[in-house]
Amino acid sequence: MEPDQKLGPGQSTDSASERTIRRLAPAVSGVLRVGVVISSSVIAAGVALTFVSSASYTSARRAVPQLRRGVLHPAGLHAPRTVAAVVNGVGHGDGPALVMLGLLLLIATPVLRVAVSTIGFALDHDTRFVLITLVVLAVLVGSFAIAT
Amino acid sequence: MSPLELTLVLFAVGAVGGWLGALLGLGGGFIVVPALTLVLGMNIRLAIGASIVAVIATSSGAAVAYVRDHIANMRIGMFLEMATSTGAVTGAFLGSILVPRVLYVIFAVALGQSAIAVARRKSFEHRPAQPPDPLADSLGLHGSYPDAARGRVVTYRVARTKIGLLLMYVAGTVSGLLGVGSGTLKVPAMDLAMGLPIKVSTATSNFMIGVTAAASAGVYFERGDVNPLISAPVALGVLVGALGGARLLSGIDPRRLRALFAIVVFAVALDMLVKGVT
Repeated sequence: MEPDQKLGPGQSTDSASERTIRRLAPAVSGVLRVGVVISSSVIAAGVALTFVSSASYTSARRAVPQLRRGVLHPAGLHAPRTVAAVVNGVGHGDGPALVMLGLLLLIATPVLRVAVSTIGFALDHDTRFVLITLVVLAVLVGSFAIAT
Repeated sequence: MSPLELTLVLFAVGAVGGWLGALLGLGGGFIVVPALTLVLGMNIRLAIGASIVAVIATSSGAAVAYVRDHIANMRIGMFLEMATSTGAVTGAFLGSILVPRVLYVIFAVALGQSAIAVARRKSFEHRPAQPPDPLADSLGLHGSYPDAARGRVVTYRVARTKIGLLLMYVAGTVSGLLGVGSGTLKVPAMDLAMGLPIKVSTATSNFMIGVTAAASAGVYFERGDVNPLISAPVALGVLVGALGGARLLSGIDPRRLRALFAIVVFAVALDMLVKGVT
């Protein structure tokens, strides 16, 4: 590959936007990486905890047909639907609640990525992109607030 | 099948979906939903709940590499996210008014056409001169990306940003209405309307779909459609698959990528058509 590859996007056009992206890319990539690592670790721990702590789930073959039919509480396990219920369940060492916490962290990862971009654009005084990312952030937070 | 076996099967389904999804700019729902409903006989609501989580996992897992390696165009992605996220919310509200059956047929026809158009566009090396686009100029959307398959940095210009924005709003609405990841519409919008290279289109689509899915994830979570014991192994499999798929993009032949995308989207279109007609 040619040496100018390191310049990254926008090299032949707007140098200001190119500088912003070159500074922003490691931060955005890093936020996504941290979000993915933390959420997948919590999810994996929750799955392990479910299998270890709930002998009825591990052994009960009827749990699978129940899951297929859409019964959400196989073998007496509960899937919390609110953030408060998730936190409460995690406090009691509940495996499925720990999985839900991990899934919520996974859902939060793209939202956090947008927030980090807003800060990055603000540091570079790129007002239009600060507004653009704020609109996206408002829609995301608003939709989650309305739903839950 | 024991719960442990089910967990392993779901992990494998997720891995395949994440791997293909990362390469093609799709969320992997096109693998996850049919596998869970048709093969494993699960309730469609649980399958869609798992699919939403899978889309976010594919997006975040693949975008780690695509952003770092400058293949995804973040400025284009974030600008278009305004349209996809508001579209997703619109779709969620319209869902109770419109008849899904009709939507499936319309969506199937639109997808089939764009699959054919993407497949026909063979002249990726000699892209015709792009019409001027003052909006793209002023927002600094043009860019370049390193293409390992061609051994050089490819510079590209963006066109028809306003049409792209409108198409993204439609893509977001469809996503919110039908609970599908809308990468199948996002990639053609960037490839055909805005004239981006196919790899930039799939990588940027991957970057964006996490935000689109997150905009409707709250609804599915609250409804209880996100079952932890089904979604967890799917999500973990998707993450592993997406990390693997994302490594391949830079080195793949763009023509092969284009053909693979067209085949997958055509299959999705047929699936939608069957759902709408039967």
